[in-house]
Amino acid sequence: MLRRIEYACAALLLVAVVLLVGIASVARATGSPIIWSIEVAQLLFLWLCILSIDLALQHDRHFGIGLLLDNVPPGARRVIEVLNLLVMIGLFGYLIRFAWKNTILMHPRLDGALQIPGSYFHASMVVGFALMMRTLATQLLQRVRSKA
Amino acid sequence: MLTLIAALFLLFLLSGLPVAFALALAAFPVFVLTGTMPPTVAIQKMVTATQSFPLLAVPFFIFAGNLMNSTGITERLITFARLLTGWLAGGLGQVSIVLSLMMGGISGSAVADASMEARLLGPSMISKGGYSRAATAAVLAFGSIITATIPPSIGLILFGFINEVSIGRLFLAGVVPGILLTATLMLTAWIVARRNGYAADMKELPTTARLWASFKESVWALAFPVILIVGFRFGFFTATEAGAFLVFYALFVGTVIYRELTLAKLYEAIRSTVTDLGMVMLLIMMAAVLGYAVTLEQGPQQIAAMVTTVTSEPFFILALVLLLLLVSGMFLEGAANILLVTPIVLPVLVQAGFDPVHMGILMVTLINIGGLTPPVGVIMFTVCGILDVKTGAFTKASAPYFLALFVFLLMLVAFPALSLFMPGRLM
Repeated sequence: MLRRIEYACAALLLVAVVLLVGIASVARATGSPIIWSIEVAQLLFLWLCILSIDLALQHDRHFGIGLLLDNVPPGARRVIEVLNLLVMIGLFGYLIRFAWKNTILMHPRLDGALQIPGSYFHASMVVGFALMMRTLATQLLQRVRSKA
Repeated sequence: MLTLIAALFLLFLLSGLPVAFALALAAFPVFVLTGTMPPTVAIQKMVTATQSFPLLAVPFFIFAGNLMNSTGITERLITFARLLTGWLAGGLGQVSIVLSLMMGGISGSAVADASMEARLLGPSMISKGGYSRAATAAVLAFGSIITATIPPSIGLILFGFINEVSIGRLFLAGVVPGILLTATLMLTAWIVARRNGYAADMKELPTTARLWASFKESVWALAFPVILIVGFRFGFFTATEAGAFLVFYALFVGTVIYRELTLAKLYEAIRSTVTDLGMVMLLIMMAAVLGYAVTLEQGPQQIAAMVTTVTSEPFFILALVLLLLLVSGMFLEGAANILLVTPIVLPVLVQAGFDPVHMGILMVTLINIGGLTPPVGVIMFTVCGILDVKTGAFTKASAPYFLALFVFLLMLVAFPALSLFMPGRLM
């Protein structure tokens, strides 16, 4: 369910960015440029990236090198995979506190023609880390269960 | 500190962690141990890595390529390519090479092209064309490299973005090398086919009427790179705007001209675009963090100093850099390589007197060749996986094409005009 919402949001963001840039370039060509188009497009794009990174993670699209994993016995492979997942969760768990601090730090910074608070941008990292920790935790549970 | 970063990166890479995570973890000691850089700065680097207008071209061109594939344009291009070259020796192999050239004009990813062709052309090459499985895989994989030089190319966008080189100029610079590469590979395929007795796909030359009819069907795809180049020439649009335009164009062709694009197919195209994008963007964000850490530790200066102690002869420096890229290309996927290695070595080359656009074409091509070699070749794995070929057999079958690529690269190095002619004339 959550995954379908995530996909739908990402799809909407992608369509919105395409529309915005398309309309803005026509507007620019006809001599009435939309001054806020670029900053809004970049804001939407950032959130699109965060969602798509998590979705790619769910589909195992972030490739690594299988050289070692493919050449060890299945038992050792599972141990390494579980360790890797723990390392990744640990990394995000460590970073998410700083992401939150950073969001608060960035909130008073107003930027661009629309004076958008910086937190609108930087909050994406908190959300992104949280989403990915959830995804990784699910994968970890699956690995550990399949072991038993 | 630099040694520590490199060691950590290799360690995490080898442990099978995704490359993007290995990048982030390798940057870690700089932010945690030195105490000069709080981790919040790392977070800020991740955010600002995405805040670039040229970068928006990446999702647009991926989206447009996926859309074009679901509009039925691919089948029409295959028919056209068959009529054009099917009567040559090695028939379907030639068709696949020409198809890569045509697909290159609407899609920017060699891996996507290779997997599409392996599915659509591979089986009939083996059953009818007389090709062995390994020979089929080799032609398809090497042909797909063309996609990465013909505009729009995702690799060139990434190169332009990270090295601050004009994407428009890079696109234009890719045109002549892309066509030359097509000719080189076709000649190689022809020689290989003659020696091994691969059959032609068609007995006789196609009639002009059939060729014309097929051309009219495919013209919507073939026109696109032309529109793109004209658009750049007259400054109608930037690369990013061109990407958005291409998305609308694909929607128009799919719904109004071919009428094959359904809502379900549209949503499917969006879904695959999103996951493709996620993969590239995580790499970009994490490479930005590591790149920042390496710059703080004066990595580029140290590498430049190292190179200049070895030699100051420009072509020797170039050879050194290309060798380094070939090796890193064997282990790292293309996008990671472009984002990680080229920003470190490009300044050295520019200082030695080489043109950044020329170097861009050369390096992006070379990095893609890494995708064709063991131990880690993404294109090779994709094609071999679909066609069920062992990588050893693939490597053996690809020897003639490697030789051809080597000659092609030498030509690119020796004649900068091949790359620089178009951007010099048109922009």
